[in-house]
Order: sequence, then C-alpha cells, then structure tokens
Amino acid sequence: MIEQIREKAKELLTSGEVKVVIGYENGGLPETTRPVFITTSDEVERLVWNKHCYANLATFLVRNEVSSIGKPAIIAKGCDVKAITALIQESQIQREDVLILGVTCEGVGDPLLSKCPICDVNTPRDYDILFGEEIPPKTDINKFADVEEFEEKSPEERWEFWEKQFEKCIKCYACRQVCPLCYCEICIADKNQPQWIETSSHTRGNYHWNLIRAWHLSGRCIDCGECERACPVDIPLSLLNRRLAKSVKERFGYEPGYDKEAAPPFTDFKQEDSQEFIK
Amino acid sequence: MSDDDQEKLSVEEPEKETQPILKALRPENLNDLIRKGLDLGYRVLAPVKADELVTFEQISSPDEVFLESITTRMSPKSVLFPRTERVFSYRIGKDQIAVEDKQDFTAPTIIFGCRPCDAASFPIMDRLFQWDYHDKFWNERRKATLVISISCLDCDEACFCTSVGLAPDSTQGSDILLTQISPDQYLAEIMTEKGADFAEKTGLFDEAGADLEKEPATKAVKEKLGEKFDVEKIKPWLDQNYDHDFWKEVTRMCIGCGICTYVCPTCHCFDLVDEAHYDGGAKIKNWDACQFAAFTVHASGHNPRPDQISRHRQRIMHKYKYYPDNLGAILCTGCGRCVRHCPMEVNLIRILKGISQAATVDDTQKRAR
Repeated sequence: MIEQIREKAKELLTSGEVKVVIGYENGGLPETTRPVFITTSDEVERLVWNKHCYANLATFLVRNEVSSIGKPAIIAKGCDVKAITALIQESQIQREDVLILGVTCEGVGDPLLSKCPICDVNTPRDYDILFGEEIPPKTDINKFADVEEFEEKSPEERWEFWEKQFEKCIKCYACRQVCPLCYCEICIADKNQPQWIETSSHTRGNYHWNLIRAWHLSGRCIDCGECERACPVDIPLSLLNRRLAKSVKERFGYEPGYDKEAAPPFTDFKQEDSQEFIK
Repeated sequence: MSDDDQEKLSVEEPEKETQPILKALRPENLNDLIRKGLDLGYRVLAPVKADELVTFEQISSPDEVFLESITTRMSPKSVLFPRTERVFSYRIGKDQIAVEDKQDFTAPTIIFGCRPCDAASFPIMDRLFQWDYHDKFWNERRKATLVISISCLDCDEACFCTSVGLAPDSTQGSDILLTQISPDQYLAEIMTEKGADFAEKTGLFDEAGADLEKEPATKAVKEKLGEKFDVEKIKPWLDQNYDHDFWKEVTRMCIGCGICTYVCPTCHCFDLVDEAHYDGGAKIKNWDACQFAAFTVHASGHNPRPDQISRHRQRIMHKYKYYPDNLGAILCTGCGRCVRHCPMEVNLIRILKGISQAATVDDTQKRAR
C-alpha cells in the first residue's frame, strides 16, 4: 500500500497539483512515527504507513506553518477524515483546498488505542483517492458503553474521579494544541485582559481549563482521541468528550465529521430541536 | 568585563563537595533508609506509580516507592519549583490591606530515588536562580533538600545523558548517589556534608572495602547509551546559524504544546499572575513555556516569535547556546523526557544529531577551501 501512496505523492508533487504531502515518516524511537511534510518528489521514500501512524494530521491543515506552503495532500485514516469534514462543516477549510489520500485502517497502536475497537469509519467516508481494501463499517458497536458505565456511578463518585484526574493537570495545553478542532487563533485560556481562565494549575484552575475545553468541543469533537494520547499525565479526556458527544447525539441526532453538508447543532436552529431544558 | 558584569555572573558556590566518602549499603536496608528519613522528620518525595503514571509524590512509607522506571514522567524539579505557588496573598479590610507573604521553605526534605540526570539538573538551575536575583523560593528549598539518587543500570532509546557530558552514574547534584554494584550491595558515594550528616544519623551505611567500584556495574548501560551526537559541535553551529532552513525542516511538526518544557528537569520559565477577588487576592507564580504563542506577545500585540518554528528554535538555542553563554552550562541533562513524551515525535536527539552532522559538513567544507 505504501508503494502506491508514494507513487501517487510523487505524481501529485511533480505535476504541481499539490505543494506538500502531509504524511508520516518513521520516528526515532521504536514503534513511533512522526508527521512529515514532503515538498519534493525525491523525498517520497520517507513516507510510511503502519499501525504506529497515530497522529491526526488534520491538525496541520489549520496551522500556518504548514498551510502557508500551498495546497496539501494529506494521508488520512477514517478518524482523521472526520476531522477534515468537521473543519469543512465549520468553514475552516474548503473541500477543494485539500486532496485527501484516504487509507483504510484496522486500528492503530499495539495494543489498539481505545478508540479503535469502537471505530465505524475503518474506510474513510470521504477521500479523493483510497488506498487499501475497503472495510465495511461496523454496525454492532456501542460507542458510549464506557460512558454509560461511568454514568452508573453516583455524582459524588464521579466528582471524586474527576477531581483526582484534573489534579494531575499541568496546564501544558497539549490537549488543545494537538486537537484539529481547537483552531482558535487566540484561545480563551490565553486571553488575559481580563484573565478568564486561571492559568494556575490549582484545583480551581484545572477545573476551569478542563471543563472549558470539553464544553467548547461538545458537538464538535470527532473523537480521534489525540488529546488523550498526547496528555502527559494520562487524564482520560476522551471519556469527558464522549459524555458530551452522547448528549448531543441524543438531543440533536447529530455526530460531527460524518457529513460535510450537515449544519452543526450550535450554529443551526430547528423548530423540532429538543428544548426540554427551557422550563 | 566590568566589575558590574563580574558581579552579575558570580554564582553562589554550591555546597562544597568534599572528597566523596565511599560507603556500602545492603539492598534490604534501602527501605530502612527511607523509613529513617521519615522518622527523622524529613518530608520524603520519591517515585510513586499510579496506574501507568510514575511521578514524585510525598510518601509516608517505603512501600509506596516505585524504582523500576527509567525516569519518572515528570521531573522532580517541582519539589523545588512547583508548577503553581503563591508568592503572596492579601486581604482588603475596611481600613487596611493585610499582606501575607510569610512562607516556610525550611521543611527538611529528601528527594529519594531520583536519577543522576535529574540530580544534575539542580546545580544547573542554581546558576539561574542565584544569578542577578537570588530567588528565595528555589534557594531556601534547595538548602533544606537532600538529594539521594540511584544510578541507572538500564536506559531506553530516549536517554542521552552521555551525549551531554553526564553519565548514568554521575554524582553531579547528588548528596548521596547509590549504585547497585552487585545483587547484595549498593555503593554509596556521599558527596556533601549534608549527605554525610544524614548517612551518619541513619547508621545504616557500612564501611566500604577498598575494592568497591561502580564502573563494572554501569559499564553495560554506558555502552548501550553510546554517544548520540557530538555536543562540542552544537554551540559553534548555533552561534552561526540563527537563520537557517534547517529549523523549518526539523520543527514543522511541532504543535506548540508545553509538554517538552514541563516534563524537562531544567526548563524553568515562569509567569507571575494576579488572581484577585473583591476582598483580596494573590500573586501566583506558574510554570510557563516558550512553546506557547502567548509567551512573547508584546502589549502592542506584536509577537517577535510569530511561528512555532521560531519558538522551537528558541528552546534549543536557550539550552545549547544562551544558557552556556550566560551561565556556563548546557541547560539539558539528557534525561530524554522531551523525546519520550512529545506527541509528534519532534525528537531533540534527532535535531541535535542533525546539527552535529551539519557542523561536520561545514567544517569539512571550510577545510577544503
């Protein structure tokens, strides 16, 4: 498969159809890969595709250091394509501005990352060229099984759990930086006139940050799990994200990243929207 | 150099290193050593494992200690330089403002089981915190802290202490360094008076025979570590190549999070913030990171480091050029945490290797001319 990807990358760069191919190369540590930005056809041999291609490269589509190079082609797994689609839904990029080299994926990581067994986009839902055998979407999965299990706990238990988790937070903002949907040029956490979100990593500051981050991604998070993978202190951020995703799905029948024509619920009003919270 | 400059550069001598006293310690006494520390009233911080996360935590029993990891996830710098601490607080009363700034930093503390790369970071950071301004938060705590480290007998691919002039059995920064030289013996190198006093008080150390050597025990790990780049070539290249396409190529995947700086034992930038309420508030000192876009934003809105490429270059320049220029030491101990925990595998070793290779090519070309 990688040979075909390299061949295509070479062709795209030679013809000038794209200026950069965003992909993966082998990392320096064992079982790692690193994002790579190929701009000339003689570098395509650096590209690799394997189960250690964790990073969601879509995050680079909205980073000036990369977007300034010119039109990109991007190697994208199904989950990464959801991020691209969500960026299109939120008008951050135009579909024609990116060439998607979709790869079918049976999951990454060894053992598999927790997002992989509940993935229903093993074949990306949008692409310009697809590499790999098509894998039919799984239908018998419950994406929210762990959320439901967690909801069984009492509010006190849940509070205690999150208090312990957030206590570890060091405010490195890796969860934000790695997230393809956290594209605000100036994050609310960086606004300091006044300082809305305390930068201190005391209990209050950590709650501020972690809750604001999760809320700002409700109905927007496509669950690529990059925040959780990046977190240097192992906070289970995906559990938090998916709790909100579950609410949005239940109330609005909406999941981001599946249909580029669908209007995100927080930018759209429908008469029949669930409004039971208005008393 | 003017007298003023001379004064600026004077660094308080670290506690005098006497000729190391060599002692022996039996492995079964390691726990007793911790217990003794606790009994003597020390606050003891040691690596503790919770799920997969190993960090330095205050312990109340040796049973909590986990010494199996190569490094802890976070470095022990937070013992001396917490990620968040109160500088002072105040309360606005009816007719007066009461300031509360008395803090006691003198609680005797032991950092137990840290690695030589982490211990080495303390004297490196002393240079900064004892430079033009003597930071009482760091210095007072430092005085009250005893560092007992344990030599590494294993390493991983991210470790590179031997490439920055250190070693898995370096004594730099340790009051006592323990090296397991056989299944039934640790060699203790007691480096300072502080360490000697403590060792004496515990009564757990035996006289060491003249034949005790740590080299045979650490030889294998030193060989495994090898030399990953030529550190001598780094600064001369950095001196000449502030503007170079190399930076773009090697840092473009950096997403600008603070992981590398926050897990680092030597990164020390902080921000002072006010957290105020209607009847009082506090001045708080928080870790800050050169990788954040907001780190250098001026009041005018101008940002002299406008992209991640310049911000990442800054981190390397600071560690391998500016700090050596200003304070005479490399601001890196090769602990490898930034390499291990970067979500995008930016990999400092790769960058330094690249610089060392580029410098070699430059040298060869110069000679050819």
